[in-house]
Amino acid sequence: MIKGETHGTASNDPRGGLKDCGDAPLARGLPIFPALRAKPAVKLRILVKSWGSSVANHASPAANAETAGDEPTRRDFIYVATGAMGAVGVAAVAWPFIDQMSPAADTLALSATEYDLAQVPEGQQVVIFWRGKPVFIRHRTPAEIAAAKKDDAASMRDPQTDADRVIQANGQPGKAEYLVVEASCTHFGCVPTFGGGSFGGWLCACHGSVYDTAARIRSGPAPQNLIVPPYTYTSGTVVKIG
Amino acid sequence: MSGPSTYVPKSGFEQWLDKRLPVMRLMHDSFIDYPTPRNLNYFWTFGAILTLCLITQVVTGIVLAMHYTASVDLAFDSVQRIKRDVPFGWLIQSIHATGASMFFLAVYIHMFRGLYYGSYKAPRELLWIIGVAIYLAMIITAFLGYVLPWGQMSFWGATVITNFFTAVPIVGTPIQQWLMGGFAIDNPTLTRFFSLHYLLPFVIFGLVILHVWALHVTGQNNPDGVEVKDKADTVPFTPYATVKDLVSVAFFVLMFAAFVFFLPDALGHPDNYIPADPLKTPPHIVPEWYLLPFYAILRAIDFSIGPISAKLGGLLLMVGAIGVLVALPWLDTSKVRSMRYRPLARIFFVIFVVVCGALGWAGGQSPDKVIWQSSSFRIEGQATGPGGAAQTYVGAGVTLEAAEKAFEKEKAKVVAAGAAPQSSTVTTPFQFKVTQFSQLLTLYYFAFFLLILPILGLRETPGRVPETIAKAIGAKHAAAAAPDREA
Repeated sequence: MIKGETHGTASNDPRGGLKDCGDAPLARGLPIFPALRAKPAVKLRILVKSWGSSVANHASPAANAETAGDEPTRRDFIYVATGAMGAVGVAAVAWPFIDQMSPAADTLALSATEYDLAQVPEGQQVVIFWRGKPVFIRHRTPAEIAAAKKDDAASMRDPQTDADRVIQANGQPGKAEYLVVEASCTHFGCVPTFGGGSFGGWLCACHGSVYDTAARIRSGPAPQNLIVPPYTYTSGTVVKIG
Repeated sequence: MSGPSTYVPKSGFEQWLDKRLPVMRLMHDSFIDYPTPRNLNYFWTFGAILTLCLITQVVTGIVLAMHYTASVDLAFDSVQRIKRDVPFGWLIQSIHATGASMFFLAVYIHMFRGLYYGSYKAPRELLWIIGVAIYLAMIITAFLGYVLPWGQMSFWGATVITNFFTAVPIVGTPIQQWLMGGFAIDNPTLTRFFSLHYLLPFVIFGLVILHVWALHVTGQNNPDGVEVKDKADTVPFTPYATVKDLVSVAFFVLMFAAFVFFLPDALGHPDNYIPADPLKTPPHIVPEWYLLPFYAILRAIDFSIGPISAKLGGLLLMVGAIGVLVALPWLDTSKVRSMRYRPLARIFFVIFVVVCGALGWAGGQSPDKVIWQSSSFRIEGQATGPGGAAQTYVGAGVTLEAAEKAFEKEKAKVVAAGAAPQSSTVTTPFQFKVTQFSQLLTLYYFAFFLLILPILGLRETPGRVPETIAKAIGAKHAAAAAPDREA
């Protein structure tokens, strides 16, 4: 397809040597000397050999890498060293362009939020945002807590007791009446709705995962219980999430 | 394929140009005098249609970017503004949105064409693999673009897709957060998706150049799958292929226009007219139609295999469904290229096409939808009668709820008669759900590539392949000239 050079014959072409490039269509279009084109293959061979002989050199320290033709030369060492430095340089330049996509400082700055649980009446729940994600805060009724406690020993996919579900980030026990969980189904991230499913808790309508009153996975495809975000009570009913 | 150049520069300027930048020569040799097999059918016009699709998407997309605002607060409104206020915005937006579907429709026909006529076989393996890369880039571009209008499906589609990554052990969640630029789909996600959605079509453009280059090195395959041997087998690209392409493009544009003007929303989801709400998940999240088969494969895996969870297994199979296409040139062991001469392979191919369509259907359904069940639900209750005699009563229904309702009614009657209900047993019928159907279809999808094509190539007896394209055409014409003789 590239036929630009068909007009200049090899004899009057100042670059010369093009005839030797063979018939490969790409090579015909590029003014590269055959010697240079042949080099990479030789280079590779030397590199492979130098790997082997460097191992051998440990065995016989008398061997001199500078002498024989097949042995790696100082120039080969420079090739490898330059290539290695180049690779490090490329990685160093690439990293800022990759890392810029990570959560930015202002996004991370939002990673803690405070909320006064006293605002939530018993039997109700609120949804607040933490790190841009919705979080359920449910003020559980005694009946809900009792139902969750009753099932503590039941067979579950992700077994946890009800007490474990309301534990604070510092390991202190939390308040059983306030359940704080991320409002995204551990299957594919849909928001479950309370009051669905046969365990009195949440139902994710997307693929039918059912959570109980402690937001533990009881049936459906989700692999885990709804995630409890790290939180601590700062005073009385004020909770700090994150 | 391209022999010696036949380009003769006419004017003085053309001669001047040809010595400095032989671009006219390249065009002449690639698209005017380029020898094309003379037996090409209309399935070979989809390259031209796809080029048109790519150009359409790039041009309309550049225009839309002039009016679109990539911000969670403004994105939805800016798209509505394009549709209502921007001069001809309704037209350009509609072309772009419909164009995505048209692009995929054309690429699927193009790919099935390659599959049927063995266009992936030596020496065209790389041509095929570049094509798979283009297809993959198209999928990513389409997904990114679908997020931009920031409707409910945009948001929740993006949530579900980025959640795929959490299936990968250890590195999954960090990768997901890196992609989203935060802990949930939010403004940083939208702006980067917009940037990448603008970038990728140019990557596709570069891949298309490689695709066409590889095509012009090996030459086109053809319906008989016989390599071009001499000049009698070919006709010049212009006017033969050019005109055929134009006829096809005309019909395609007609259909395209029908969607743009009369059914602009037929291929989209109505939920995307609701602004994105991170607190409310639509009851049924589905991707666009062209990705439904992969969605069905993803959801088909509802069981874990050893350490591989259902979530990861589904993800691996979905990626594998495209990955297997890369290996296809080496999986098909048949020496015969075109399925025109492979009677058995042809049957399996037709089943494969139907399976792909069925996967698309399954991907759009709720996974719990019951397709078929062996009988109705039956609840049998035992009761002790007034005299101590045992009696039974039965409630039946198509669903468990219906059976329970009927059962309660019967129970009330028994109680009214003075009996004391003791216990009850539920008989659950066998149910064939969308998930099981998807599993069967997924099994065939992979079996077609990994079992059927490798084994069939070694076992089947192919038909007689003509020696040359010219002879294949000659035989066809002879048969057409004397139709009575066969009857």
